[in-house]
Amino acid sequence: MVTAQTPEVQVIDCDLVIVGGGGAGLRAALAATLADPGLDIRLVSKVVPMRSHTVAAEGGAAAVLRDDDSFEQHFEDTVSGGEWLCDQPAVEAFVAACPRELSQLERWGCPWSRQDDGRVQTRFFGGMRVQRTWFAADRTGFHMLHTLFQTSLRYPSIRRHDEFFCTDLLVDERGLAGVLGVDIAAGTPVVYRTRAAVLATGGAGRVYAHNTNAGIVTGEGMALAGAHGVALRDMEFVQWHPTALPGSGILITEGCRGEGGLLLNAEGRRYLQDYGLGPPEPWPRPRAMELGPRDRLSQAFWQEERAGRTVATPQGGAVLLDLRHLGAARLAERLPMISEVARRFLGIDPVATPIPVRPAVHYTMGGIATGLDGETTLPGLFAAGECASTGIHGANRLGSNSLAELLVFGRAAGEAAAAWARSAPARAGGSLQRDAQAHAQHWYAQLTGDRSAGQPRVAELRTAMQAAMEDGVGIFRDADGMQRACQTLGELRARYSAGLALDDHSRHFNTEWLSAIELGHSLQVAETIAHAALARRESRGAHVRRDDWSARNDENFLVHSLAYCDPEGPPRIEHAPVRLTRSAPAERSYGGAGARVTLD
Amino acid sequence: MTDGDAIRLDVLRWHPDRPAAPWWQSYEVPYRADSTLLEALQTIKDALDGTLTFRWSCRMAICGSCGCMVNGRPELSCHLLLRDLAPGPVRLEPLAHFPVIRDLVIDQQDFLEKLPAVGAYLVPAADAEAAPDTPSRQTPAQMAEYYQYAQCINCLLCYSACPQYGLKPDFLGPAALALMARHDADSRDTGGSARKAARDAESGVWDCTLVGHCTEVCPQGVDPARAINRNKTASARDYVFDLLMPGRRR
Amino acid sequence: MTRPATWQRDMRGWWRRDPAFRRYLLREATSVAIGGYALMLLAGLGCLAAGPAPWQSWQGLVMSPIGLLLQALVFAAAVIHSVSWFRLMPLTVPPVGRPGRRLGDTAISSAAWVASAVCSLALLGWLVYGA
Repeated sequence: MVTAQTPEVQVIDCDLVIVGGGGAGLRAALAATLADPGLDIRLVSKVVPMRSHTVAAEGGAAAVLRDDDSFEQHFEDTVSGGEWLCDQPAVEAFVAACPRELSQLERWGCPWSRQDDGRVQTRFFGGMRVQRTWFAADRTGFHMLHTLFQTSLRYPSIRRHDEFFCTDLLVDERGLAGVLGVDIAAGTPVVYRTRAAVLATGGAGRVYAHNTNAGIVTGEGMALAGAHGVALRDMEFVQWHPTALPGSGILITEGCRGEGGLLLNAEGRRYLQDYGLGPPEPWPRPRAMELGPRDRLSQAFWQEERAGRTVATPQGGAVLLDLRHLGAARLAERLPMISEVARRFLGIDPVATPIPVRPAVHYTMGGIATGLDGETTLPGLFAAGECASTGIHGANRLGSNSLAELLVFGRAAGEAAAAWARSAPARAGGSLQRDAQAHAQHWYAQLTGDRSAGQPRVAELRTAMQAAMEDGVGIFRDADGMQRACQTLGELRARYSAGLALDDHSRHFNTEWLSAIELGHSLQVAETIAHAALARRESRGAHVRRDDWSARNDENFLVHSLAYCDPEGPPRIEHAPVRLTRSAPAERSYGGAGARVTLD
Repeated sequence: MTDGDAIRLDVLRWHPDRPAAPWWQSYEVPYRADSTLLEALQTIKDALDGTLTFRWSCRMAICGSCGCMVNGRPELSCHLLLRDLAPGPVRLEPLAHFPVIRDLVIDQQDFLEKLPAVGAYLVPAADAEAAPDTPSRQTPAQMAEYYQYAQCINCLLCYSACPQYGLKPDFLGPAALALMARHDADSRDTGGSARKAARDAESGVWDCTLVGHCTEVCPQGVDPARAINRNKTASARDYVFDLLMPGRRR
Repeated sequence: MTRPATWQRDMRGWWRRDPAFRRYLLREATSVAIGGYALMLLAGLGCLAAGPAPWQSWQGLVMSPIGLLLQALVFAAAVIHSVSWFRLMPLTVPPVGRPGRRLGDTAISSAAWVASAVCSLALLGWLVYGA
C-alpha cells in the first residue's frame, strides 16, 4: 500500500547485492566479478566506500612472511589468543590464505612499508611470537581500503549505490529474495531483487559509549540477519583496545607497542609485570609485557584504575604510553598518524611527552554465524568481515587478524555468493514488491513521530543504551550488572517500539531518521551481547566475571553462544560446540618465555 | 573563554523543499576547550536541532566525510578544536564549489565520476596480477616517488580551495589529478599511457592556473599543485614529441 | 538512483572569499605590468629608429616624475613576480635525479635565484663597463 508518507518502492533487478563498502564488501565485490564477470553486482553502502570504518585501522594485517614464521605458529598464536574458543578448521584455512591475500593487495597497489631491499616489512603485534604484521606506516586500513576501492573502479560490472541505507532483508520460501533500503539523498525506498546478498556491514562498537569506532559502526547488518533467524554467535566477546585517547576513544595503534612503546602507570612503573606478563625488559619480548594480548592489557588497566594508580585526565583515568625512546625519525617513519593525532587532539609531541591512554571498545569478536565461505543458515545470504563470525577470533582477537580476515573471508564470501547467484533461479515479481512496500511503510511511519506525546529523542535512548552497556557489560562483569543491563535494554526496546520524537520529518538526507533506524538495530545487537554474556557462566578471553564464575570452565563452556533475535522480546541464547582439530585447550600463558628479538 | 561558556556557530542552511531561500541559523553550544567542532555539531544534532544535517564518521581526519567551510576556509570539522576558534562566532558553510544536497552535505558525485576518468587505480602487469602468491619488491626510494600522493583521503577540501574548479566544473581537479600522478609514479604500474588522454585534455592539467591553495588546505600534506604542474611539463613534452614524430609510441 | 535536487552556488566575486585567491590574482597581475614595461621599451626602440626628436621626447617621458613612478611600480611588480614564481618553480620542474636521490625544492629555487643574479649582474656589468 502506497500511503501519503511512503513513496512507491523502486524495484531494481540484479544478481548479487553486497551490503557495505568497506574492506570485506569491496573484496567480496572484486572476488565476485573476477569469478563471474557476467554478473550484475550491486555494491550498496550507507557511506561512500572510502568513508567506511576499515579506513581507520592503523597497525597492520597478519600473514606469515618471514622465514622464522610458519602457518603453525600463526595458528597457535591465534587459537591460544582466542583461549581455544576458535573454530580450528576456520583458523587453519585463514592462516593459509593470509599471505596470498596480502600479496594480492600488494599487486593491486597497496603501499606496504618496505625493507631497504624492497621486501615487505613486518612488525610485532600483541600475542605474536614472530613479527607477522604487514603494515603501511600507521595507516594500514586506509591504504588497504583505498587500494580496494581504486581497484574496484577497474570493473564497471561492480555498480555502486553510495549512500544507500539498508533497512531490511526480504525473504521468500526459497531464501533471500531482496534487499530493501532508502536512497539517502532522495529519501526514496528502493528494493534490490536479487539471488544472493553478502552482508559486510562491520561491527557494533557504537553500542558502547567509549569506543574507537566511527559513527557508522552501529551493527545493523547483524540485526538484519538476526531478524530472519540467523544466529549471532559469540556476541559476548567484545574487544577493548587497551590504548585509546580518554574521552574521544580515538585509537592509538598497537603498532606503537610493536615498535617498542612502553605502558607506565602513574608511578612510572611498567605495571603489566604485575599481571603475569613480565619480566620487564628494556627490549621488546614477544607475547610479554606491552606485547601481551588485548584482553589481558585492558583487564590490567581496569585493575590499575581501581587501585588508584592511573593518571587523572579531564576524561577519566589514564596510563601513559611512552614512545620517547623511539626517537623523532622512527616516529615519523612508522607512526606518523599517531604523532599527528597526539599533537592535534592533545597538544603533545610524543617525541617529548608520553601519551595518556585508556581502553575503549574496539571490535565485535562475534557476529553473524557463517561457514568458511561466508554462508549463513539463510539460503542466499552470506556475511564477511567484522559483522560475521567465522569462528577465527574465539574469545579474544589478536591484533592484525581482522584486516587479514576481511580479505580472506571477503573473497571467499564473494566467490561463494557469485556461484550461488549463478545457479539460483531468478526471483519473480509481485509478492516481493508488496512485502517491500509493507516494510518501507513501517520505516516511513517513523518519520512522522513528534514530541507531542512526550516521546524520547534518538540521542536520549542511544545514550541510555550505551550507559547500560558500559555499566553492566564492561571489561569486568558480574551477574547483577549484566542482569541490570538486560533489564534496561528490554525497557529501552519497549520505549523504542512506542515511538521516537524526531525534529526532522523531511525525506531528504534525513540523518536523524537514519540514526533512529540504526538505533533499533543497535538495541537488538546490544541485547544479544548482554544476554549471551549473562549466559556464559565462566571467564574466558575478553569475557571476565568477578562473581562466582571467574574461572574458565572447559567442561561446560568450551562452546559458542548462539543468540537468536526476537523483535518482541529478549534474544534466546543457545550454545553449540567448538570445532577443535589439533590444539587441545591448555593454560593460556604470556610473558616469561619469549626470546630476545631485534627490531629492524 | 573558559569551559562552560557558550560559543556561537552560524550555519548556512539549505533544504530542497525551499530551494530559493538558503538561510543562516545560529546555535549556542557549550564551549569546551578540548572539544572539536564536529562534537559541537553533534551536540546540536542530538540536543538542540535534529534537522541540522552534516556528514561525519571517523572523528580522526582519515575518512574524509566531514569537510565544510569554516570561517571561509575548507576544513575537516573533526580536526578543529573549539579553543582554536574561540571566542567565535564560527561561520559554517557547505564546501564551496559543490552542489548542496542539504545544509552542510554536498554532492560528491562529480568527483566520484572523475576518479575512474583519470585512471585512479594501479594497472599491474598482467603476469604480476595473476601470480600473487608473494609480494613484489619495491624499494623505499621507489615508494617515495608516489607515497605522498597516496595519502589523499578524498575529503574534497582541495576542490573547495580551487576557484578554477568553481569556474570550470569539468576540470578534473586537484585530488583526481594527484591520484593520477600517484599511480603514474608507482614502479608497479603499467597504466600510464591510458591516463594521458585525460591528462592532456583541456579539463586535465591545463585547466590548472597554479593558484596553489589546494596544497595549503590539504589536511594530509598531499601536494596536488605539484602533481598537476609537473604533469603540465610532461604533457607539453609529449605534445612536442608527437608533433615532431607523428605516430610514435607513447 | 535518482540524482537529488541541489543548490548550485555561483562564483560571483570569488576572489573576495579568500586572501589566497587575492595573492594569486596579484601574482598573475604582475605579468601585465611586466608586459606593459616591455611594450614601453619597444616603443623606445621605435622612437630611436624614428630619429633624435622622438627619442628625446621618449626619454623625457621615461625620466618624468610619472614615468619614474610607473617604473618603480613595475619594478615592484617584477620583484613580486620573481619571488612568487621562483618559490613555485619546484612544483613545475619534473623530478631531477634518480629515485631516492631527487634534487630538493631548495636546490631548485636556489638555482633559479643564482641564475637570475648572474644574469642581472652580467647585464649591469655590461651596461656600466662594456658599452
